[in-house]
Amino acid sequence: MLEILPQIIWFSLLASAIYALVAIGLSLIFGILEFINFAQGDFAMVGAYLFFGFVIEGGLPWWIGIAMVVIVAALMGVVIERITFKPVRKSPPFIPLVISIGVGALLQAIMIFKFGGSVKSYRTEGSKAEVYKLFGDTLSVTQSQITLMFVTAGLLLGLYLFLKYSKTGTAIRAVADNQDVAAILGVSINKTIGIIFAVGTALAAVAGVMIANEQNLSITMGLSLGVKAFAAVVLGGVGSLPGAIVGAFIIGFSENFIVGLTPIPSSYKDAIVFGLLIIMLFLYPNGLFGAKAEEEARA
Amino acid sequence: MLTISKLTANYGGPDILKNVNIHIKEGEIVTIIGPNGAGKSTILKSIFGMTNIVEGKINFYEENMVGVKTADVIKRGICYVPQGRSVFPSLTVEENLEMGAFIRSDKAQIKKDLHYVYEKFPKLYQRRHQKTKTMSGGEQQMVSIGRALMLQPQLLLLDEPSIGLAPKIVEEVFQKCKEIKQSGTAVLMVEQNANIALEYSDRGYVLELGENRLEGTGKELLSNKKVGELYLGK
Repeated sequence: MLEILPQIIWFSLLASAIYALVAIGLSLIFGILEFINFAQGDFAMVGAYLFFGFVIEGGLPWWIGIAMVVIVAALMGVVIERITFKPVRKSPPFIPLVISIGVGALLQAIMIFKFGGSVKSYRTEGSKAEVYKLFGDTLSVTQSQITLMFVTAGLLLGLYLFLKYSKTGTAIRAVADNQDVAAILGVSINKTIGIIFAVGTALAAVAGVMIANEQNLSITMGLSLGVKAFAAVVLGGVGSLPGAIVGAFIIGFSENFIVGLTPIPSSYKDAIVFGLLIIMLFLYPNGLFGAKAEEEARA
Repeated sequence: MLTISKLTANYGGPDILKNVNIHIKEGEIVTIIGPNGAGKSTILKSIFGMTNIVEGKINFYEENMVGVKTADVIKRGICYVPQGRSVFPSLTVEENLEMGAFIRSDKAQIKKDLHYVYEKFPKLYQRRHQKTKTMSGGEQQMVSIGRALMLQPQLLLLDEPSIGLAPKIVEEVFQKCKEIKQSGTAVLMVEQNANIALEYSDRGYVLELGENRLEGTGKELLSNKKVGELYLGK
């Protein structure tokens, strides 16, 4: 039992990082536009395929590939927002929500058109992943996993510093708090929302690369990812960024621990996540951090 | 400094303001009073381009203000404190104030602006790292006013600054308005709390159903029998 613990922890960390990247985008978008973007998982899927296109098919070095994925995804986010969500900004939130489902379907169709419907993989024939054995062979970690963990940590830290200390970051938080007041201080709401989408889409795309590094690529891979990120956001308390990250870690750890240490088969992972979500919502109806925020407001 | 003449405006529906005339001179506090739905706030929103202006003029030092972008209205020296709790609750006091100078990019100047506001509101300096959602309504109102003063505007627009505040705090807010006026910023405000507002005002306007009814100095309106009956509860 104990000997598999390091491996389970490592897998939990990987999964949590992936969910956190997607959940942050969801939370950022919800914080300002107050709708759940169901295309967020598909943004990740697109990221996975872009990396496949640039690096596996195109032969670019991986780090240029990641940079390209981030740039192309950010641009895609801005364009999608302008064309689809901006015209309905004043509508009730279920309208952009439904549109986001359509956007997801459209992205899937475009990727099938470009890459075909068959399952793809980053592991090419004959290539051997560099594997490190740690803790007396109980933990094996690949080079690419470590790299991607560093990329994720760097992105999260960068996002934190950006939101906390930069002028634009402060403006984003201000717009999330009160759009109308931010506007009368001269903040461009359109620009701010554009930035939010660029950041949210780019983070999701990196998550897509991470997940495709572990599993195969498929057109529908975004579905379960988006759903788990949504669960993380709700668990943490809607609108709270630290909440989204904590929620992602709770989900990443619990699904891997339960599957790793009990006889429950891994195909039940999603069921576990939702069981957990239901239980947590009974205990903390506002999410972990949402409740805290409300108490603070009352005090 | 600001002249609104024959202003007719709406929000895309029926006209809220009809042929309204208002002006404010340098160094004045001017208050617009009137019942709910008289269109008082709409006047301030029109200055900030948030309404649909059908007819009339808004001039600030001879310059036309109709159709001017928000950022440009601010640049020309008009700042606005909207109604209700208009702070950014999850931001600290200092971040709130810095947002007031969003259109500036000169960091040294923003430091000076902060200094200027902290001098006027020493309490805000003590609490500059506190999140504004943890503050009382009165303190939040001070943050909103302080934020609007960051650019040291020539004209400050206040929409119901006393709303939801305890009487003692209301007095404090109006006292601040007086200080603001003395440091060279004219104040145009809209108030429900007509008694005390007129006491602190140089002049006032009574608005009813989107039209001018009466105007005069603060004292004149306070002693006007009709105004007393209708709005001052005398």
